[in-house]
Amino acid sequence: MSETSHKTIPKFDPAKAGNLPKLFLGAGALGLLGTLAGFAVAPKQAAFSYLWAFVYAFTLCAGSLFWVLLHHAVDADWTVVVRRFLEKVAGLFPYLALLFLPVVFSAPMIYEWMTVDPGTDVLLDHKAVFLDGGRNGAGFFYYGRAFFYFAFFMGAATLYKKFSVAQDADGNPHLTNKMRHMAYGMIPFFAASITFFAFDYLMALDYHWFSTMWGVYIFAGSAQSSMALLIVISNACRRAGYLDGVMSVEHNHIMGKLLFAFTVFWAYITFSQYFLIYYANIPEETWFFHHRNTNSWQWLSAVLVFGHFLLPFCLLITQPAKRDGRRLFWACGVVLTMHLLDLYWIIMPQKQINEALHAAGSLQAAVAKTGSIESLHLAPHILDLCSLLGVVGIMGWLFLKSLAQDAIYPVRDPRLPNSINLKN
Amino acid sequence: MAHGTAPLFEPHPDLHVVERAPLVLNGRSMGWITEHVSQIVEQRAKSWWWWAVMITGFVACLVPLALAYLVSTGVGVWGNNQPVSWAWDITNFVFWIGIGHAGTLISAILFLTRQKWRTSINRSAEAMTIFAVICAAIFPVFHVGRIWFAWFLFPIPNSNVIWQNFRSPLLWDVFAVSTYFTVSLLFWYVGLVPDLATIRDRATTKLRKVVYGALALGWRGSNRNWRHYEKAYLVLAGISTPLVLSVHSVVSFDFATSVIPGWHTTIFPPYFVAGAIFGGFAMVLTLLIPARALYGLHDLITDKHIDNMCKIVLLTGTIVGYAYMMELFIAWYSGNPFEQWVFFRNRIAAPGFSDQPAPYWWAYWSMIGCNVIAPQFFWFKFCRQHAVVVWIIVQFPNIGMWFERFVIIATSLHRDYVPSSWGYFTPTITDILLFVGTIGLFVFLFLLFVRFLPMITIFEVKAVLPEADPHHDHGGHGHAKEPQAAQGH
Repeated sequence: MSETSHKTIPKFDPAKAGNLPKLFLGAGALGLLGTLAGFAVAPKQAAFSYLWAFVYAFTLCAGSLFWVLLHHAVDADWTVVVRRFLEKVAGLFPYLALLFLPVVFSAPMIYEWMTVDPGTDVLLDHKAVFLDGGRNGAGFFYYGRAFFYFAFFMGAATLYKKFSVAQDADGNPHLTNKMRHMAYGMIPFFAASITFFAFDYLMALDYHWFSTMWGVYIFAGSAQSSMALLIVISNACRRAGYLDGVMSVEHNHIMGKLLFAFTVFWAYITFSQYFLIYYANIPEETWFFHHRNTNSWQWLSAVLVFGHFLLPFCLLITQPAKRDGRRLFWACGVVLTMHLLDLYWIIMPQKQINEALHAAGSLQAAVAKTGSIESLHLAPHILDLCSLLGVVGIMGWLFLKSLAQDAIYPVRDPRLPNSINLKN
Repeated sequence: MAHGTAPLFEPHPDLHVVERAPLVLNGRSMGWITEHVSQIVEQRAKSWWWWAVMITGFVACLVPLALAYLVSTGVGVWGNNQPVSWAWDITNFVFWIGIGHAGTLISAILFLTRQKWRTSINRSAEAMTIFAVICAAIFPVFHVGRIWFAWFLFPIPNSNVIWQNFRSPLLWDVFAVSTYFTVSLLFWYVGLVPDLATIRDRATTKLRKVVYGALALGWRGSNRNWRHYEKAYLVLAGISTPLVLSVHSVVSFDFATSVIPGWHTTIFPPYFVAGAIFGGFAMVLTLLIPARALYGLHDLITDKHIDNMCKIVLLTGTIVGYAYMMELFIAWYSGNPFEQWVFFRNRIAAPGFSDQPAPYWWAYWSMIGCNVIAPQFFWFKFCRQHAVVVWIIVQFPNIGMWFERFVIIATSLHRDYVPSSWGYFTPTITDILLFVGTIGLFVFLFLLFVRFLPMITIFEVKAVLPEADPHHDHGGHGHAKEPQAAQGH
């Protein structure tokens, strides 16, 4: 430990980041205040908008934890110089758990099944053991599961951050092995947590609808977008000079390859889910897509096909594109934006569907005239922006604060030389 | 390349704990590798090989015999019935196609991800792919019944103006599997060319020189040859990678596009791919562990290779378990009585736990035991490090993956919506002999492969030797470069 005391540990200096921390904090505070006001004025809209912003942050943090786990499980070399960023993003889970509280409190405004009386809907009664958070029961299992998810994510992220930072002090290689062994055991828990979180808070938006692929679909978007976030953060730090002589164009190349691979993986999963439901054409499954192909929502569906898959696919397909930080940055911007829109497309139509069903009394009545719910329209709201700014701003500010606390990369990881000298 | 300017630290005294095991043991030289691999092809076959090839060749003869009987009599010689109109034929097809996935995965995906440990095992795994696809193709081709009309599958203008139903996943299968076979064959052959030239150059008889010379396509090892080779191999790896995913996804569409409970589930494509890789790696281990022992290849196919493959079996087995759990959970969550019936009454209900046991409960629980529980032994280092234990454990996925396909097909079909049409499938002797025949054919072809072609990629294994690294300290003892704690060197 004494060895490191006289050496300069490369750390992120918030003072050199200009107004960025203040900008994040300001946007976050204003956004959260706006959302709070929104809960007073238009509570239902605020609840949906906030859920959307929260899930965006959740998927980025969960995806980052996935990359940390994968790095250790496969004993990778190349990730070392950028791993600290992933650890720090995943390390935001304790704050994310706090930001989850408004979702818990506003849940009855979002999840229709929480307001349905027992004995009204046979399908809901059937799964009342699982969806027990409303009038069907006390909610111990529903919220207990959420406690478990967050306990796992927080525990795993905190442990990895702790051991990684501890290694900065003494370079203890036993910690590398320890983190590797931990990763093996944590991967099944990670898969279970992200899957059932996706079921509980996204698939349960429409409690009639189901898809076995849903957990994999949400995971695919998380992994893809968190890789894009990693590329953005690491390149920003590289440009700011924090990673001079450490990170090279080779790292961009390998991250670009992974972003490309997960762009294809997302498309594969999304297409498979859509295609199988389309082909079998069973009404209880097709409604999900039918609603999202109604009126202006279908334009967003089309934007996702092109923007979430084709555009990044074309942007990243060549080798120079993956090595060029600027082009990579644009592709990452597209991916991060499209992931946001993908979640918007999942969450927001449900608000209008719920309203239409309430007004008409049943789905059959709501679609009686034209075969679709006529009131479905893409209708962005100012509270969407407030929630997004609030959650992303606060998380961004907390990330920068956290980044400044420790070395910007694992300075004494035994695999660091191999990572620095990476060749694709 | 970045030149490290990061702070220097003293190496930790325990740095050896993160040292990686070398990929070639005992500091074997390049010459030793060439000699050791080539002599398998060059020396007289050992007596065990003759016995093995005779026995498996005899078993393989069951394939033409069973097929001749089938063609001359009709597909009624199989046990397929109504409602189990697909049975062992499609079970065996999907089983063999799945086996054929590990080869291309090892060759293409591990190549693109720069996993150097693939070099000792990729050649034989790719060969296995080709042989497995050959075995697989037999079943759908012959299950059409009138085999002489099989060409109707291809969009060739004909006098009956029959046009193919492009909306059918069964037709997509034809294109997916034939494309996969073609590309896998090309990929395998391109990778063989430099080593075929090595065998040609070492040949001591004229016949060998001519045969291997023709197969080596005039390879001279020139800079130009290597440049073209590297390019072609990379392009084929790029083409093969999506094919690995697409073939089994399309196979899964055969089931999942239908509205049959137990088949129509959205997770099928990635679940089938994971299952195929799982079964494929189990088969690679099944064949390579004995081959390693019989040919003394422990320095090239090391315990580290076995350990890595065991971990992939564990991972993919757990993914398959995840998919089983999702299917069960959503069958319950959906509230769909037909889905629930298939899963809980046709598959799970075991005697002692249900007053109406499922007719195929034994198949379902065999599948769970073999595919989900057995691979969990690979969590223990002991089980991964003893070749005999590994070989025993991987027999379970081999069996379990066959059962998985049988469970999907038979349990969904045998009791459908109308109880009066319920039935039960029992295989006929032709079913059994044909399947046993394909196992014989598969092993027979593999035995021919190890005898006549270099089973390990000589030139690629040389490339992972420490002395192949331009930065290697040639005064060393041939071990892999140790991790360096000091930076900025």
